[in-house]
Amino acid sequence: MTLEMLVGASVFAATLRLATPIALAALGGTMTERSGVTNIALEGSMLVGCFFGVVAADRTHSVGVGLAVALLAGLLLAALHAYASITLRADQIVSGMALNILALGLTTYLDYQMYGTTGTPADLPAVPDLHLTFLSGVPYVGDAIADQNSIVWLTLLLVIALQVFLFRTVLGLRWRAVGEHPRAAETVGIQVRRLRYAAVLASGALAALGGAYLSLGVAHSFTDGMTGGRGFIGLAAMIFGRWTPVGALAASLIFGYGNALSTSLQGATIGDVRVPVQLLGTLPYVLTILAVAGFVGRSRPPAADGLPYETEGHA
Amino acid sequence: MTQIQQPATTGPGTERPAPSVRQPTFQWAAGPAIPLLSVVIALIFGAAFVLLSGNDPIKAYAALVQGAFGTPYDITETIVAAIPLVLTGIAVAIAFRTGLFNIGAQGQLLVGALAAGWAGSQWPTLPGPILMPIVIVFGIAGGAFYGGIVGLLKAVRGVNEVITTIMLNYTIVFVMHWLLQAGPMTAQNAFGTPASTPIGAGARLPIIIPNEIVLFSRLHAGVLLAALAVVVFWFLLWRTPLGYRLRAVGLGARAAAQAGIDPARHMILVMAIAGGFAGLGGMIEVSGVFGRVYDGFSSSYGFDAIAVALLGKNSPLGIVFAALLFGAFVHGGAYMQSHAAISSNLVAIIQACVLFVIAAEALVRGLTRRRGHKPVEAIA
Amino acid sequence: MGGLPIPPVDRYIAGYQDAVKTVSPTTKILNGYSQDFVDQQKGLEVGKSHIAQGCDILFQVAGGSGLGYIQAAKAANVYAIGVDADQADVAPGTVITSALKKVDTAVFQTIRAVRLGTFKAGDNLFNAANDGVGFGKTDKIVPKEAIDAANQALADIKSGKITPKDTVQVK
Repeated sequence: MTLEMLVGASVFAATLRLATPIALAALGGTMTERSGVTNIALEGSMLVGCFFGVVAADRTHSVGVGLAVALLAGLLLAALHAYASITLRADQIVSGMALNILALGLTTYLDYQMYGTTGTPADLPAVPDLHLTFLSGVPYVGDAIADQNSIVWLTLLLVIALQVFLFRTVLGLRWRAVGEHPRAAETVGIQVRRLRYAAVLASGALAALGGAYLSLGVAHSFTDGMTGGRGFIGLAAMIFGRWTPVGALAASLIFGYGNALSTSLQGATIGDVRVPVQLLGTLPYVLTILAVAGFVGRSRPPAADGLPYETEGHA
Repeated sequence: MTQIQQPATTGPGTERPAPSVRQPTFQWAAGPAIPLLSVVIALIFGAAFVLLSGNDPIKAYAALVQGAFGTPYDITETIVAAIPLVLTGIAVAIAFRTGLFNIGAQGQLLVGALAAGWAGSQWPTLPGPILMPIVIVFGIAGGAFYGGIVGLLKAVRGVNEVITTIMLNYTIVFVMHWLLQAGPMTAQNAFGTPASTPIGAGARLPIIIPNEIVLFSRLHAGVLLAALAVVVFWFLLWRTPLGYRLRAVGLGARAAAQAGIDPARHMILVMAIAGGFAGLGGMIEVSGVFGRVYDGFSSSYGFDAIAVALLGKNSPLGIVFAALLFGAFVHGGAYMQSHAAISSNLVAIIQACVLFVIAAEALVRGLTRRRGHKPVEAIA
Repeated sequence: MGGLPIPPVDRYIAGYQDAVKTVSPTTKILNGYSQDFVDQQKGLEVGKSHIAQGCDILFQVAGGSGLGYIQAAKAANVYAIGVDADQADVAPGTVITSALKKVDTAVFQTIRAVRLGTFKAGDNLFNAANDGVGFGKTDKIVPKEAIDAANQALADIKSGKITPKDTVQVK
């Protein structure tokens, strides 16, 4: 086991790549739960973003349209959840679960209908990487961040923007108020329902961006169920990150690091014993549990999180 | 148990009735009405989807029903598919009742399966009456251990169980890969999926409907174990003081704490019990269906379990019916795909519709609730 | 790269490594696993890691995950080899050939055997001898000598002259 395997520049680069979709899902989760709605359908939004982004990019040969359609798809799925959770005041867990199942079934079915046995085309327009050539000579930093995908940078920007938004702007304060004490927020004139709708829709779009990153940015194709639980890991990251954008990013990075290690440590030996490759796969998960148990401990969600809100007459 | 009459709710001089000790029977019977209605509505939505995809919904549903219940063999297969769902459904439901979200049924099932599979192959020559209980105990213990960790972390360090259960689910998958591919449970298996050493004959749950009655029947004695588990679930939660306390915690932690119940201890206990049920489910799959532990033999019981628990409203009978429904989806879906040329993914879409309509049930409930006459949750 | 170190995967890898060592003993071989048969990002990461260590040809036995491995090859302008089905269309110009598991042949022969009444239940083996394996379309960059040598090797395996090793040498 070498130091290179543990903290080398390529490991850091991989960490960023692997953390991005999770961070986007975690950001989405943070935004909705801060407004008081639990959205576990992030996995579903991510998956539909993944799929419909590919379909749109394929049909129009434009990655911009692909991204836009991906965001729209995630948003629409989240809209269903918003309707069920906010207007119908339904059980948010059930609704979320239902939409996840729907997303998987729908995308798998449509994938087969449209791309059957041939798979998605090889010449799919892709989200470009951002090549920071001025950094290419710099040791470590250059190798780590000089060739990351644009969406990775977008994610970092979003984290900063949303952190500032939630904790430094008036609207952000209202957002959080709605999540903590919607009744009080309403009495000062805040439109609880409207805000919550916006929050859920935003979360769908964010998760879908993560999905589009996976299909249009990384894999340049679509395979059934390719999100592989990242939406749920994102939820865990959100809780781990104490419902803040920066925390979500930190948690995602820890998880991404564990993932990166499980690749970079393959073939490593401790003394004479080879680390079994299968156990390496447990690294991100065990690392996350240890981190949460050791450092984060009790974390408190927004007080009104997950509870349907009954307005006093007006929307 | 005596029935306590509800005092009149209208008229002069009547105070608000005290919470009744027992849920009025008609209300208990009306409980399933809404989920049933939801299933019907969902099937209609599902039919719309089928139509949209250019297929005939009647044909699709006919194939689905035919596949699930058409022949005695199909019925046994549906039951075989439902058994693990009953147990994992209980694992999720029991946690829900206490206010905990157990997404870890999947992992707990796998640990139980591994433990049972290991025990069964360690002493293969022991006779049935000795080996079977050992294997059952190992299965339950394995799952209970895995669930207990979750409860422990939450009680001691306040770690949200959503995080731990998700993480542990994935962890055991990889540990299982290692155990069966390169670790101590690897058995020689030149061509196929990695698997463990087969368990001894004494540990195999016998097929209870022999081939003479139903050809190719795989219906094993696990169905009896599952039925027993349902009874235990009901008894534990609705007929013991512990169950009373657990349900109280679920209905309002603060009030429960004031009544002297220690939430931390109960968290550990509930998660361990829930894990135990799921572990039993894993043991049954190994003992009754496979005879050994195959790598990756169970992939979706975890999520289906959540759906089963929710659809069954976290109650014993509801879970049984929900599990049977999902088992029918699984088995009938395969038939639908091969005989009616309709993709079994449509089954997933129908499942989603069912759940979604259940979610909206709350609104239906709200609309039918008359002012001042809230449905009573039976505490005693 | 394999999905998991399980026999169905490792046999491919073992044969591949045996061939490489036989034809070109000085070529360095790396081996890795994505631990997944669906997740493309994991395959991509292993691919990037291998390319960073100097690999020019990436052979994957990892299903959906392997597509990520091929993508890594495409992004770095090196070559890849497909598996199971002919994956030349996945990345034209990058995929130089594929190791074929001729399930189509197997299914056809089995149905035929059933029809002719010669079918025997139990384990039916499909290998070089009954046209159960082969290699797929070769990219134009593959030299003719290589294709001829491959065909010769296939014939030799069929006749029993060569028996590929079935244990992975470079883990």
